[in-house]
Amino acid sequence: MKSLLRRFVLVRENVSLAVGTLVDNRFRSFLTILGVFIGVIIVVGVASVLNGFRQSVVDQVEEFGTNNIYVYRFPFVQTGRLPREIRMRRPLKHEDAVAIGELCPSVQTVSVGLQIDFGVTAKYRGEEMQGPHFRGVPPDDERVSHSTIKEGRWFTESESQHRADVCVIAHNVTEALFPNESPVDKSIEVSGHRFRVIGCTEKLKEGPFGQDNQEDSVIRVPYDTFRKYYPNMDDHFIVLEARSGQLDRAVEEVTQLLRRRRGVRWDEDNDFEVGTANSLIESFDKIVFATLAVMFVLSTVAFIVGGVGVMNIMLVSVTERTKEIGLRKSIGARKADIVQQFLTEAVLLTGTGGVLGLVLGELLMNGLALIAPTLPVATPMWGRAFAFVGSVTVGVVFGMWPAMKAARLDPIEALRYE
Amino acid sequence: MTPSASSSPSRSPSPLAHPSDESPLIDIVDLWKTYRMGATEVHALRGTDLQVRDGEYVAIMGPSGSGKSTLMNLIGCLDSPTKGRYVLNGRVVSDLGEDELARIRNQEIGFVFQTFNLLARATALQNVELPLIYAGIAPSERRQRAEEALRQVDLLDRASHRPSELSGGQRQRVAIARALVTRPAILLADEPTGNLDSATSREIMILFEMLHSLGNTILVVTHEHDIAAHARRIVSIRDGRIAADERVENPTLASTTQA
Ligand SMILES: Nc1ncnc2c1ncn2[C@@H]1O[C@H](COP(=O)(O)OP(=O)(O)OP(=O)(O)O)[C@@H](O)[C@H]1O
Ligand SMILES: [Mg+2]
Repeated sequence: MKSLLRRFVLVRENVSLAVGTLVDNRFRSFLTILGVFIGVIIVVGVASVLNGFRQSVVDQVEEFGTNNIYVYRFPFVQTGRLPREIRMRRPLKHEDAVAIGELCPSVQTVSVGLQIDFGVTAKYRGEEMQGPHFRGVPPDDERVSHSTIKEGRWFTESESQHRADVCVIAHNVTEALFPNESPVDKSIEVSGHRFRVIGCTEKLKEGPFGQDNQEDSVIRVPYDTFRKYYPNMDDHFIVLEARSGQLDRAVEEVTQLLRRRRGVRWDEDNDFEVGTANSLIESFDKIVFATLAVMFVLSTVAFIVGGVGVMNIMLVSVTERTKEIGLRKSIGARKADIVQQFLTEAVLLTGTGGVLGLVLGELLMNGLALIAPTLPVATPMWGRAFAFVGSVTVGVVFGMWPAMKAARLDPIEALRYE
Repeated sequence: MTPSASSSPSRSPSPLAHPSDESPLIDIVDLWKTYRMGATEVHALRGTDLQVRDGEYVAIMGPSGSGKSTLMNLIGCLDSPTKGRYVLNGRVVSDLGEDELARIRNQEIGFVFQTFNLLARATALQNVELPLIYAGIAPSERRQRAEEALRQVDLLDRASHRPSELSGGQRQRVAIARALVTRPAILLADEPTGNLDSATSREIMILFEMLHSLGNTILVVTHEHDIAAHARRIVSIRDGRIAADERVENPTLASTTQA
């Protein structure tokens, strides 16, 4: 009890001593904490942007439906060049999708499509749009893609069977070709073929950098209509909607079926990718973590540079105050009290750097949000916590040696120091 | 060898009137302190013996370099001997751990330095409070006790002055208040008047007289005979050994010898 009170009295004393020293040496202190300050700003900045970026990816992916399963021969999130055995994978067939619809009980709806990504031009009278995605899909795609018709309607089963030249255009296409009028029942030209617009869809969420959602630049025609013009295309992608609550089972059924149909041996990996909203977010998170690792290294470097500065200034402080340390020891300061005194000073120094960094980081992020409103920045709590804990840790780690040095001083020799 | 201080007829009355019945407060036997300077050894103390009883007022004299400061630092637990035995208040000091030594320096001994050693940035009051901080005393009680100690040295009106705003004698009185504030049994002063003129020195000697009359045990190192004459006992050191140890039959009373 008594020693607890003593500890408390000393903590008070040491904090007020440290504050006094910090204030007396404002300029020196400021230079010292610069490294920690920069480290904290790196952490806050990267964490904020990354967190906002991830949040918008999550929003976007989830808009497509959390119950959806995406099947394609290549990975969805690609980092760097793919290895040869992946590039050599065979495409998925239309029959694969049909088989899934027939043989997988947990799958509710199947959409299978083909798409041209590059070099497409769409025209209507004087207006023109470069690079929309031209896609052939079954009527069920309306449900699977979670599109909302804004005007007109989706194409029907019979239009699909009769290979009717009709199309449903997404928001950006509508904007580009029909700035002033309704697109419904107008005839547009897509890569030299004419289609009648029967419907247009609502705008989707913007991407993480405010860029348009890719799905807003899609022109959809019935699958068989698409095949009529591109009979040789065969690189299918399949989108499925699982029955409610049966997502995992559906993934399992689809995977097993496709392994059998594609002749994958029991000891080989899948030669196709099956993704869900969650798995897409997970693969995106790998990128997030890679970036976080880089941030961690950068901020650690800044923290270490700052820490060496702190150690240096603390050694100066200890030397300057050798006589004072001698006196304190001679009137009853224990080793632990002196260690605590200088650790408090070091931690206050780096902690102040950390707090200043957090404040400026917050201001910078708010400023960034003003300049680039579409850039999703949201400082996560863990970013602030990491930055603060990091700066305090720097104080403890790099203040320890000078503090120990001070505590080990011989009282007589220290008193005699000039 | 050591005369009993209580046998001195001129000893002021104190609450501890019969210290001779007790074991000595300070009991030093064959104490050595050797400094190694490269290849050569300097023996600052070479077998010192000294016993001091509770309530004594002892002056330590001797030529420069004879080991007075070394002895005081050892008595004050600021330094450790190379060899020998030092028993303080019944405890063998060399057996004590660092924290316990710090506690003794804090609670049982008040040390007054020739150069005052006040913290320049702290006020007189804060300087006096310092030992109480390491004693773990809460702020309000600390302040009260520090003011009391300052009143004892008649400097309460200068409580908020910094050392640079005080005269040398006032600084030394602040340092004495700091040494007294934890109410230690022993007051050690190494040439407390060495940096002061004779009038100011007398102020300090009056103070010591009063403290002695209150029952404090006082050891003062000094070069000056008229300062030593205030004590009840004079111990002379030469070459690290006790050369003489004599009772003062008629000590000067500083309070009655105003110039
Ligand atoms: N830290 C040290 N290293 C080496 N030698 C020392 C040290 N301290 C003291 N000495 C030596 O020990 C001897 C005694 O020194 P001490 O300071 O005790 O003398 P003193 O009696 O107090 O002298 P003064 O009256 O000048 O203060 C001296 O010869 C001195 O040179
Ligand atoms: Mg000396």
